[in-house]
Amino acid sequence: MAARMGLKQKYHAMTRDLMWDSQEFDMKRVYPLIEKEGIILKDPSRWEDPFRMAYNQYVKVQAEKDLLYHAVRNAFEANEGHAKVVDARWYEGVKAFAIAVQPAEYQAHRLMAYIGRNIPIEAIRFATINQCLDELRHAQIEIKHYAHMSKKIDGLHAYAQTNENLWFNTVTKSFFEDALSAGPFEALVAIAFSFEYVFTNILFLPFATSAAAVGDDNFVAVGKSVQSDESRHMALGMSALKMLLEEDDRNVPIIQRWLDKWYWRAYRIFSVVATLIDYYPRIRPISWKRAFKTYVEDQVFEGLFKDFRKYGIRLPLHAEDSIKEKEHYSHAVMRILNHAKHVNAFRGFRLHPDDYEWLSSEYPDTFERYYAPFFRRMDDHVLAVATPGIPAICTVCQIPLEFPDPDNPTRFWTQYSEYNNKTYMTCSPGCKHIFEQEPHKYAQIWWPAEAYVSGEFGENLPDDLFKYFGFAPEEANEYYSSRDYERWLQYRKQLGLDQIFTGR
Amino acid sequence: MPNYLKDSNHLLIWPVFKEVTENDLFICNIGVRARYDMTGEELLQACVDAWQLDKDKKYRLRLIRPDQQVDIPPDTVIKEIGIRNGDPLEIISC
Ligand SMILES: [Fe+2]
Ligand SMILES: [Zn+2]
Repeated sequence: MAARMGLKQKYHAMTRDLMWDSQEFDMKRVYPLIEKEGIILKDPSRWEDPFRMAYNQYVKVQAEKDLLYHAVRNAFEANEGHAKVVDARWYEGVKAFAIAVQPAEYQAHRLMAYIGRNIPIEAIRFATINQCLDELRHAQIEIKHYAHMSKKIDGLHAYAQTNENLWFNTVTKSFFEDALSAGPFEALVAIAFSFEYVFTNILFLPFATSAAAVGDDNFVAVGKSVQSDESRHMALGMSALKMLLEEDDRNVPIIQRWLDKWYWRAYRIFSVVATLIDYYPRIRPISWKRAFKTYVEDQVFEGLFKDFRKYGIRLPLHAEDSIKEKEHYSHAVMRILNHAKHVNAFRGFRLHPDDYEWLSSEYPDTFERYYAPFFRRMDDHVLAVATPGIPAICTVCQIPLEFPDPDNPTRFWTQYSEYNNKTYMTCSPGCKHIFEQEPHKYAQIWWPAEAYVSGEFGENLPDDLFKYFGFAPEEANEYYSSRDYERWLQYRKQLGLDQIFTGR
Repeated sequence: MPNYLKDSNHLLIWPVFKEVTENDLFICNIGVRARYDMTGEELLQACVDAWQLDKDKKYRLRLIRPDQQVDIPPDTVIKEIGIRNGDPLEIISC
């Protein structure tokens, strides 16, 4: 080539100029879903991939990120990092993250491939392919992390089985199966906008900050490596949404409907993150309440949605409910986890006086009044709050039906719907609304509780379930009386870390 | 795979002990096996057993539907009452 190409030309030559329109086949047969959702596109080729990165640059950048993570992990292990964290109960939270988040990364890669396959717009296609590879990288880096954690910690030795079979993971599965069985544009709004743009900052920034505060530098490296791809993912979410809104006015009500649905869907899947920020770290740099205010209320509702008004887009239907729930979210979810802590791969734990103090001061209006009495029940008996059976779950988000109504926090928020001669329960008005838009879809759920009680995995509940879950009863339950805690204390003792120095 | 629901006389119901929904325990409905030919009283006993409640005390059972709540009569067979698979119920102390 004689003349040197500019960045834009070069990018075009290496990405979008490689596309062609089918001449042998009807385009509608090659892309059968493109008109199914009612989205109208007039001239989508004028849209640019927001990141404009060619593959060779992409590989170089990503390889550096991976190498950096592995260097940190090696150093962390060589320096007995696990013994040095401030309180190893933190790892019980990382296990919860392992079962909830990693499978989401893996599913997100499939979802991105699905979107790229079905939407023949160059800008979207190249960005989704990059993100598809990112998500696979995230899944693998996280699995590697758990494999190393597993050398020191219970609960992850049959990780693939546990993350597939534990009820907790059906929450993640239902989200991604819902998106994968939607049309490609809805899937794009679900993952790229609602999940990535609105919520991933709140997932990776506060939780990675918590990891740093408790001394888990290894997890900090995972979090940073993953988060470093998010700016690209957020840019895709934003430009895809703008494109759909600007291409034709008739798209606006469709997009609004998807935002109403997927905002709440993504918000519910992030519920466990509230507990990972507020409960598991013994030292907390930020509360869920503050993180939600900063990342969702200020940045998304007050910032972004104000710009969307010009298109006729309003806040998601149940935005207000999530704002009210921020005073309750982490406590209500930790309560749910404690009801089932004897059957989870990650343990619950008794709160210490410093935990009560922090929670009371961060949540002066709700913690002491509505939640502390529940946690104090476990002071004498760690299983004092265990559910006597297998709990019913929300037909949409699949979380046990134990969310309090934020306007009346001593009452359940559970909603009831009638469909096809059966009663369906949902956890909140947000999930009820989603159910009632597409009851035929949600009525098909695989309900783990129903399968368990029906005896699909054995007659003796919950004991028979452990084989299916891939871990033993000793790996569940209370952290501070567990063998993991005992081992961690021994480990510290060997290193002389159990000594306490006071005075000047 | 064995499945209790394969028998057409079988259903699962989802009772919750009302008291724990109103105090800080906040535990929700749990799955319990039932049969359509049970009486309301037998169904109540199955629910009391599942919740491990004090058998010396008296309870009644209420069916929850989106549009109404129905007290379950002890002597009627539950199929006749119209109880369906998946129904949520409340156990209430008398
Ligand atoms: Fe990811
Ligand atoms: Zn729900």
